[in-house]
Order: sequence, then C-alpha cells, then structure tokens
Amino acid sequence: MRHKSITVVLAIGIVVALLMLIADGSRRHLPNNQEGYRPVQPIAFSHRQHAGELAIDCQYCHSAAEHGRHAGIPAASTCMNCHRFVRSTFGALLAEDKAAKKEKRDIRPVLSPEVAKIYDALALDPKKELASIDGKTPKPIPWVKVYNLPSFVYFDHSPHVVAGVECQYCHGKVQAMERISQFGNLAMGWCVNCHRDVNQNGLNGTRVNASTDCDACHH
Amino acid sequence: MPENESRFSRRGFLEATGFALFVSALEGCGRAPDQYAMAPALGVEGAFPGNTADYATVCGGCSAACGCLVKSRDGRPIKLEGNPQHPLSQGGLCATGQASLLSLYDSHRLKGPRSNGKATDWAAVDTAIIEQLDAIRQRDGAVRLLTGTTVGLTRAATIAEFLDQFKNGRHVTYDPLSTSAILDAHKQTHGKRVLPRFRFDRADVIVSFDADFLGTWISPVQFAAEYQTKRLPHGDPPAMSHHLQLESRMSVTGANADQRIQILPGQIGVVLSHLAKLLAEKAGENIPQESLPKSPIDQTTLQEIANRLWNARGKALVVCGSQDLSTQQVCNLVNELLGAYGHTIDIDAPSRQKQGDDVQLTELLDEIRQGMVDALLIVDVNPIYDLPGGAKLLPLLKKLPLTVSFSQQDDETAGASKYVCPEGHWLEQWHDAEPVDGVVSVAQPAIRPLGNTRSLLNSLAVWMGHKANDYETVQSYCKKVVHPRSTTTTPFQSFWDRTVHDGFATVKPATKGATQFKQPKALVTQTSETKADTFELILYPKISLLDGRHANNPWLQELPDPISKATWDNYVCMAPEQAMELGIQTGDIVRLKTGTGKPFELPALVQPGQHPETIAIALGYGRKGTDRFAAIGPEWI
Repeated sequence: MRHKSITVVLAIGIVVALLMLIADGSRRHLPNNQEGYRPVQPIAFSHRQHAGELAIDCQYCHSAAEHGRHAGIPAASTCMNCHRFVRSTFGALLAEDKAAKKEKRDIRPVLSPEVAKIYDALALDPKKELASIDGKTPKPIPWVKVYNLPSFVYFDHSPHVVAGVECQYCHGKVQAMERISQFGNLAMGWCVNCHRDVNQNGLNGTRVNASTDCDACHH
Repeated sequence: MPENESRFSRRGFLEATGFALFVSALEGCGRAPDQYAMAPALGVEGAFPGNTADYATVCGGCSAACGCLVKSRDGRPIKLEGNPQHPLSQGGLCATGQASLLSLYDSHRLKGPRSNGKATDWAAVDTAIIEQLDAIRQRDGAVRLLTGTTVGLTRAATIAEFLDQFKNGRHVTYDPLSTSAILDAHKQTHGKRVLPRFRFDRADVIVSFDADFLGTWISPVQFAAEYQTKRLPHGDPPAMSHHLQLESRMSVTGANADQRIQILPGQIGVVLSHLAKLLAEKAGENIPQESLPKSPIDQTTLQEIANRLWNARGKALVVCGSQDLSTQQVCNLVNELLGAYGHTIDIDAPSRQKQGDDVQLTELLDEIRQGMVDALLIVDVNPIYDLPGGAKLLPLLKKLPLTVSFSQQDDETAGASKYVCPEGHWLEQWHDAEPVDGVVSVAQPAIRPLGNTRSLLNSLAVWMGHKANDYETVQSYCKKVVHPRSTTTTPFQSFWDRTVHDGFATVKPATKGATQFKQPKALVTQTSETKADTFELILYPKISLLDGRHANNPWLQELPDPISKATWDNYVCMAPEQAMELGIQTGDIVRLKTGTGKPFELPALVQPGQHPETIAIALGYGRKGTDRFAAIGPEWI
C-alpha cells in the first residue's frame, strides 16, 4: 500500500527532526533571535574576573556608553593602563619565583599568553620597557560582536545610561560571566515592555518618559 | 473504491509536507554569522565610537577653495558641508564639493605609482625620475610643469623651488574653464595680470554678460553668498539689488535675475562698447570714438541700462564671462567709468582662484610640437581631454623623454604619461590655500591615505632630495610667510593651532602697489554673424560636471541639472521656436555637424530661454572611465 509507506516515511522524518531539535535545542532559535550567543573571543577576557572579582566599573572600559550610541569596546591602549604592570596571574609569578630560587637564577619576566596578545596588538615589546617594535604598527583586536541589532533599529546607549538603567538590566549578570553571552533576545517586545513598565512604575523611584513611538527607534 | 485510489488525501499530504518543511526550516535557524567590532588599538581622548566630529578643512573640488567642514565618524569622513565661519564661502558648499566625498572612496582611484602603465613601487619610480631629471639638469634641458590654478601657497612655493633647480624650468598654468582673458585685460588696463575680486555684496546694480556667477563662474559659492546679502530687501524703504543678465542660454544666474536679455556670445563686445559710449557721455570722459555697428539691443533698453548703472555708480558692477581680450578690456573700461574699482571690484586684494594663462599654454604646446621639451610634469589637469584637439597631443606626449602625471585617476593624460605618481584625495593630505589675497586657509587631512599615494609636495621634495613630510612643509611655510602677515601679535604656535582649528586666518594682503587705469585703445566693433541655417554652438560647464574632472563621480552624474532637470546624460539645448520650426521634440536624437569635426548625435532638449540662433552642449562628458556608467540608466526610455 503506497499511502502507508508515505505515512511511515513522513512520520519517521518528523520524529527525527523533532529529536534533533530537542537534542540541540539550546542552540536553535527563531531567525534573528540570538539569545545566548556566546562566541569565542580572540582574547580569553574574563568579565567575571574584571567586573566581578576586581569590581572595575563597567564604564571604566566602556566609557563611550555615557556619551553616544555605542558602549564601545575599549582601545587596546586602555587595557595597558593596568596591564603595563599586571602581566600575568599571581600563581604564575609565584611559580617563576620558586623556579628561579631552585635554579639559582634571576627572575625572568612572566607574560601570560593572553596579555601577550594585547602587547602584540599594540606592537609593544614587553622586554624593553614597552618600547614599540620597529617596523610593526598597532593593529586592532578583532573582538566578536555579541549584541547585533539589525540596521532598521536605532539604539542609543547614552540616554539609557544617563537615565540610570543598570547595565545588568539589559546585559545580564556580566560580573558572573566568564565569556559574554547575549542576555536578552533583543526583540521589539523586549524593548517596548520595559519602556511601558518604567513609564508606569518609574525608574529608580523617579518618573521617566520612555518613548513608545515607532519612530523613536525606527527612523 | 478503486484499488489504486489513495486514502492519503491531498490535503493531508500537503499538511504533512508543510509541517516537515517547517521543521527542516527550523533546523536552518542557527546563529547569524559572526560580526567583528574592531576597536582602535590606540584610543583617542574624547573620541567615542559612533559619534561624529566636524573638522575644518579646505575643499579641493575646484580652485575656488571654499572652506568646508568634514564630518567624521570612527575616523571615516562621511559628509562635507560648508564652513559657516569662512569669510568667503560663508557656509556654502557646491554640488561638486559635496560630492567629492564619494571620490575619496572611489575604487577607480589609482592606488600606487605606475611606470609605463605597470604598477610599481615608489622607490623604483623615484630612482628612475631622479636619474632622468639629473641628466636634464646637466644639459640644461627644458622642464615644464603644467598645472591648473595653484591656489595652495605651499604648493606654489614648492613648485617654484623645484623648478629653480633647472636653468630652463617653467611653470605653466591653464584652467580648463578659462578666465585668462580677464587677467590679460587687467594686464593691459591696470598693468597687473590679476583676477580682481568681484564684490557682489557691495553692488546695487549688477549687469552680467554671460557670466554664470551663481553656477559655475570662478567661485560660485562665494559669489552666491555675497550676492544674496543684497537680495534680501533691507533698509528703509526696503531696497534690494538689481540684477540684469545678458546671456544666450538659460543659466541659474539668469533664472535669478530681475531682468534677462538674450544675446549671442559674439554680440557681447558690441553691447559693452555701446554701453561704454553712453556712460562716457555721462561722465564727460574721452574714450576711443569709433563707429559701432547697430546694437543688437534696442537703444531705449540700452539707455535704461546705462542710466541705471550711472545712477548707482560706485555701487555698480559689470561682469563679463567672455574669453575675448578686447571685450574684457571694454568691460574694464565700463567698470572704470562707473567707479567700480576700489568699491565693487577689489584689485588691491585680488582673487587667486583662476590663474590660467592661455598665452603661456599656447607657447608650451608649440614647444611640445617642436620637441623642445625634455620633461613635462602634469598636475591637476588633463590636457588630452581638456584642450580642443587634445587627442593630437597624445602621440606628441609619448615622444617626450620624460612625462610624469600626478593624476588621481587613470585619465587620458595619465594613460599617455611614462610615469604616474598619483596624488591622494584632498581629504588625505595636508595642504593650504589663499583663494583671495588675505584669506589663508590651512587644510588638515581627515583620513590616512587609503592607497599608496603621495602628495605633489612630497613627490617634489623627494626628487629635490628633501626629507620633510607634508605637515612640516605646510607648517614651516606658514611660519615663514603667513604668520608675519598676521594682524595680531599671537605667537606662531597659537596662530597655527587657531588657523587649523578654524580652517582659515585673515591676514594682511600680500599684494602691494597702487594701479593706474589705462584706457583700451579700441572698442569692439565686430559682431559674430551666424549664417542662415546654422547655429552658434555654446559649450558650457554644467553645475554638476564643470570641466569633467569629477565625471566618474556617480553622485554628480545623477544630480539633476537645476535648469533642465536632466540627469546622467548629455544633450543639446535648443530654443522652443527653433525646435518647433525643425519639428524636434525633447528626446529626439539630432545629428550635429560642426565646421571641421565629425558629425555626431545627441538627444535634443527643448530649453525655454535659449537664444534661438544658438544651441548649447555641456562640457565634461565622454571622459575615460565614465563608461562604467554606460550600462546604468533607463535605456528603455
């Protein structure tokens, strides 16, 4: 019977497809929903360590958030404010100290392989008092963008930061993330619901007027 | 029920297939491709990603050198606008200036030096050129540097320094849209070969003979800004300037005039001579008395114009776009009779926006023809395209021992030159300008050179054995020459910082010495005669394309002409009465035959306001490299 065989093939197909969906459901999304996107970055930068343990203010690095549309990824030279001194983990330093004592030699400078990538991007020589390496020019680090908005939406960080919206409100508990993953789904409802909510209930105890006009974001 | 009929219904099948398709589509919903955020390696204080900043600089679209602001975002220039504080352009920027932003990102720009048509590196080109220049210097050979108007001070000084090395070195300047006759006429009548600065902001009565000063003539943005200050009724009772335009084709200037009279280009001289006679009578001056042919404009109108001008003497201005030396001399005479010099015409602080000398150009062409030139360096201009019969230059240029082009594009002349040492876009390099005596601009680059290009300053410095970079060259020239002319006692560093920040500085004029007016020996007594069944051909610059140097800029190609509203293509403007007589409508293809040239075909455009005995065709089309647009556009119309 032909119809029976067709039914069986279709049923098997559907079951296999559903199984596949369930198997890697966390990676599958509706088109344009990038929630949970957690790309590997060129440098294994830990937000948990910097924002969590060391409690560095978000805007120390993402200082542009207050001033314009983009929060911005800090220039490599900003990293050097600290990393000119902090070149590796404490553990690595202790190990080198131990090894030097054991082998009865001077302590060699230790540079963690991840910090070395910043020095490399800036064409700096860590051995020679941070002098530039001849013939090399600084190159930007190709960080992978996590939060991507389609080009038909206009979003500006500065009014949100100025109004006092916590960074974590939209970006999640960054201080607990080893590697950044996308917190919200960036859908229109996600934005608008919050705008409606703060218009009714206020933000941090103050009345705000968050626009829900179409052309506030689509212009 | 027949045995072969399926119980699996059509509807059921479609439902199942649809669901299977939907599930398989979900399988495709993975992650979007990774995008990168390239943060700068070195941070700049106060610069935030996505925010824009305006920097003052000088437009290099033509030799008018208007002040402009570059809007930059993340290190990329994204918009050009006029600099509102600039004393000449006063916040305006023309279509060419605005569109030259796109030329910065033009993929057809030359990316590096070329030698005999092949890409090479700077070291190889420099070695070869220095070697040949040395040989030429030893045998006192002729070195000619052919440029357009050099409005840059440092540029002019570097050129002079470079040519000083040679016993027989000469700088020849020509403008594709020439005003050479105005300069030559002032040499005759005032003893100085200068282009005076026309002050439309001081003129109560403006009479313009074929000078499209709001559109394409000399410095249209500056003129428009000055002109419009008098076009707003002011004072009590409210008054505004009177503008009379005598022209043969409909121009933007004509469209803005209070009164417009159609005349043939060849009649300008005679009308001006009649005007000179009438004004001389009123002034009681003796001018050359010749019998003039009958004026093409009736005597009453002419008398009216003369009265109007005479009543506004000291505040009247007559400008003339003619390329005829004697016509321009008569124009100077008219202005002198009206007391325009010193009031509406500034000859003491003249303009440097057009310096072309057609006589020198003719001499150079003769030298080239006779093979007397050893090295020809061509900057900014494209003689093979610009000059009438320029194609004949091609074999001559190829015969010269050394030809160097500094063109940004692989244009006609660059193709004929042995070496091409491309300059960068003006937004990529330091330069300066003094468009009008006493107004000095310093232009900062807005971006690093996108290609492996080098400025003229840099190339000439290398060939002279110097090592200075452009920034130092421009700055040291400013310190040496411009700063001493400063009207204040500001120390140099603050003067320089302010000039770069503002984009300009107002300093004391460099020109000295009073001028004495000398009457022209004769008036113009000849008019051009158009034979029956023929037209007088007017070749005019279009607002968008000018001389064609920006012809491969699509923004300018698609810009509608403000009068005809036509885009993309060239056409023949015809007067409605002539078109009707010949049964021609807009869009018809007409065949044109000039005296000696090959016949060619162009679409016709019926243009009200066109003199019926003339047809007009725009310059600037047919450039090499514009064939990239040929496939674009609604061919089906």
